[in-house]
Amino acid sequence: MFDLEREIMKWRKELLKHEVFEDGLLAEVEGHLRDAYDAGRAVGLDEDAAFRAAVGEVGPAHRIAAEQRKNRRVALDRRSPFRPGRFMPALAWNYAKAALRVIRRQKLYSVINIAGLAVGMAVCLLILLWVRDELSYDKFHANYHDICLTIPELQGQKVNANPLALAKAFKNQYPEVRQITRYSWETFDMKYGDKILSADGGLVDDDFLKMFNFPLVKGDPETVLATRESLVLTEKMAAKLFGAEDPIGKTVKANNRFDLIVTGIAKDVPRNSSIQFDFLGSMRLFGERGETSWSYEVATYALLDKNVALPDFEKKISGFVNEHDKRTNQNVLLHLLPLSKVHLYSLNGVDPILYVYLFLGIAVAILVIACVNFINLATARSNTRAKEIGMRKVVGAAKPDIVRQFLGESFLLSVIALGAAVGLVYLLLPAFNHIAQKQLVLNIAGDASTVLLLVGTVLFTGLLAGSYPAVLLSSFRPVTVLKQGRPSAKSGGFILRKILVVGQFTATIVLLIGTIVMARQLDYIRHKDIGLDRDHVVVVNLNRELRAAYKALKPEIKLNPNVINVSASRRLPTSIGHFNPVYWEGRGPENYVTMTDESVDYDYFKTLGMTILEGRSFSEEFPTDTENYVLNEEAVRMTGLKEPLGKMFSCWDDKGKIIGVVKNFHASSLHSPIGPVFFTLSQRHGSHAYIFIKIRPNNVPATIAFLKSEVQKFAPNGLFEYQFLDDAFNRQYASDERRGQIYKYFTALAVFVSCLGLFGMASFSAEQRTREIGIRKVLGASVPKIMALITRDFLVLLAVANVIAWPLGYYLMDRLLKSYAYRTNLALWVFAAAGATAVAIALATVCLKIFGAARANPADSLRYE
Amino acid sequence: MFSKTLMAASTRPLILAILSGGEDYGYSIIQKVKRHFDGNLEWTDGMLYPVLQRMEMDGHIRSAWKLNEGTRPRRYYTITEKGLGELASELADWRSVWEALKRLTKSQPAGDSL
Repeated sequence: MFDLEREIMKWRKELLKHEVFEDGLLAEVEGHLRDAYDAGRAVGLDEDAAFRAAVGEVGPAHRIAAEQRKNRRVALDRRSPFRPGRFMPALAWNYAKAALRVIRRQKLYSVINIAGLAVGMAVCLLILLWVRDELSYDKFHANYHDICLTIPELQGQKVNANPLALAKAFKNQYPEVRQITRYSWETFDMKYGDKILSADGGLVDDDFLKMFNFPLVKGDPETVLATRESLVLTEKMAAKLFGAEDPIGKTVKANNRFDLIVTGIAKDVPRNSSIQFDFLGSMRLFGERGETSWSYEVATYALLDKNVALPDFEKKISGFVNEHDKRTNQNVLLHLLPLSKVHLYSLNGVDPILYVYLFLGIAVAILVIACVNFINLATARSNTRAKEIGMRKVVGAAKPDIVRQFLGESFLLSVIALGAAVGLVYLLLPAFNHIAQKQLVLNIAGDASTVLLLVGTVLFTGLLAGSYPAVLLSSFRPVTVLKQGRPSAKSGGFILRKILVVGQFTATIVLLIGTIVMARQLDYIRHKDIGLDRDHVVVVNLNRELRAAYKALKPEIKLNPNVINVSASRRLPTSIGHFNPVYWEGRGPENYVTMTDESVDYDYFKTLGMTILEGRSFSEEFPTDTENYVLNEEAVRMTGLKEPLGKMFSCWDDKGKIIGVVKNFHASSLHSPIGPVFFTLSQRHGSHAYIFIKIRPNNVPATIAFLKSEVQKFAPNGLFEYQFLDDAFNRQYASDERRGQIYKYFTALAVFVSCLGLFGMASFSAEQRTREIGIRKVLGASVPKIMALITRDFLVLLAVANVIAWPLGYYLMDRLLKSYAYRTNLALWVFAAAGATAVAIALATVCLKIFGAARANPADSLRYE
Repeated sequence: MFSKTLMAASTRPLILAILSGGEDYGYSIIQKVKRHFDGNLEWTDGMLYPVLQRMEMDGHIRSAWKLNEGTRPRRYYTITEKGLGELASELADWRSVWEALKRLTKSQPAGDSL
């Protein structure tokens, strides 16, 4: 029997195989089929034939579908008539309302999300501000791209000290050099009227102000440095020295020696300049020596032509010093260091830019940890939104609509968090600036790059945190959700959540390992036996007057019972580093090598607590000691002499004998290895610049006051400037300490954000298992048992995180420690401590939440079920 | 029998022309076309509907479902202002093609009559 409705049903099924047949089209085509069928019947066909004719007329489904698909392609830019508009203002308002309601109803989770994101963003912003500042060094010079330092390399060590005569010869020889200037670091005591101030600055060549952008407030850049007596002061220095007076044309006495005339006032040097000065003077003060000497004393900056290829030019110049300096046959290579790299790249060893990357990594890690919290909470709590999503889908929302809604929510939260983050940054910036020794500002209104930074942070966070939950939630099937009230059992990114928590804690543990290792390394540096005793040694700077009076001053100071020893030298032990060619018995003068040297007074080794291993120190009982040498162990090792005492040793042509060997000591920071050093008595090489006074630890202020009065008795025109030797040593690690501090605080914040997330997860877990806990309690489980049950899940995750974090931390810390020539070891307990700390903090967080749930009266939790 | 390309080109103007006489629904439109061409035009009826949708998206026609007494619900199409304009320009185009064809055929003596 022919059944029209059944046939039509079959025919319709055929059509529905093609997804393009939406309801409207289907109804219309079906109507057509029925009309055609009626027409066939009207002309006398039987039911079956009429239906087949009608189907034939309507045509095969695939051809209609193909035609309809063309419409879809057209509809890429125009909505099909059977679709609602893409953007509906009313719906956007509805989304906003839903989001705000969720925030209000789930206060705890919203606070966790927003606080975590805010802290993450704040840290990120701080670090990005810091990085931006680090990267901005020296970029304010218009020529910064084309300015290079010339860097000689002696025996594998690069030094930023060039021969005085290099600059002129260099410019004459290479047409690629447009301008060149030397820079000699000087500390002058500036005297005007009754005022004496110590100022750090530089003597430079005439091109200096043309090459660099250090704008003048007064004076003509072409002429301010044109004479030997020229002096340019910064505004700050001028104000200190002259007050309200106009300094131009005034005479300043520098180091009690030079009469300099103020010819110009420069703007204060920006902080992000690698060249820092209070004053500029002329290199002409060096006199004849400045033009002819090949002694390594000054920095040299060359401005190159725009089209010079650095690697090629570097090859061309590498032998330049050897061509000109014929005094030795020592191989000196000349390199170039672009100005843009001066701040973040070091000459030898590890480049500081490593820390820029390290901190950037931390910033991203903390923000990602915060985003992970968001993802975990959003997916874990997807149940609470499941019905809403189901309803939205039933009344016509498509997947992209839901995705948009939830992405919108994460952006909304990100924006709220950003507001909080900006507030936090304003709050933290003074403290951060103090630790980092910077003057960073967050200028939201006037600074396009800051605005970009903020917008970028929100976009990054919103997308990272929102996309996975949005995709997951939008894929709920309305049927399942509305029937069961929740998505199917194992959906909701169960595995992913575990992976994310593990990742989060891996990052946290690695950061903790880093904190401990850095602290240990700093401690190691502070307490390592560096071969000299730097405690209770007062260092007094010798000015010109005092240098002349030193011989008379020394016995006077020694009279004080609190003074143990007095000596002097040309440089601080922290900055011994003047290369000179030497040879010794069994090695000809033509086979020079270079060593650093230091000229010292009698009692030097005793005063600084250095150990004489062989032979003896310089002594006034041996008049010939003025010609003799004391070497450190490393220098002896370099000579290869088995029995060094009494052997001939010579610096340049000054032949003498080796009378003693002093134990190795760390002159420069522990970043670099101990180099070879030889000592001479300063009677032979120049004069002293520093007095060292070893004092007793009791009543230090009185001793200092005594020293001051003695010094001023001998040098009434000078400044009394002093420091403690251990401070001078610790200053070498100031940047290490600073980085350690920053790192420590950021790690604490990372731990905080991680725990915030864990707290949220624990709350969720407790909430989900309320009924289970209730039943277990009714059946006799104790509170500790229940807590053990729930924390077990978290413990497994933490254990996995430890397993991943330890090798990773070992690898990273090993690389970091390699930047120190002398370093602490990576003991196993460091890793164990970091892991245990993380586990302890995490457990405490989880227990805090679970404890309440476990103690709750089971009657309450079961009554509602 | 018409070529496929001619059919494709003429579908839209034909629909517009029919609708310019008043609102109509799919089955009826096709019947009118078939009547006018005496079976020279072979449409797959179902393919009319996607074309109608496209024309609606272009704004040449408008549609609305209507339930008249005694019949099933049908979607009725009405021509819009824009559709009328389109029809006018189509007519002008076809006319000029037709004029050109006529002129060219006359100027060639060897040509056969159309």
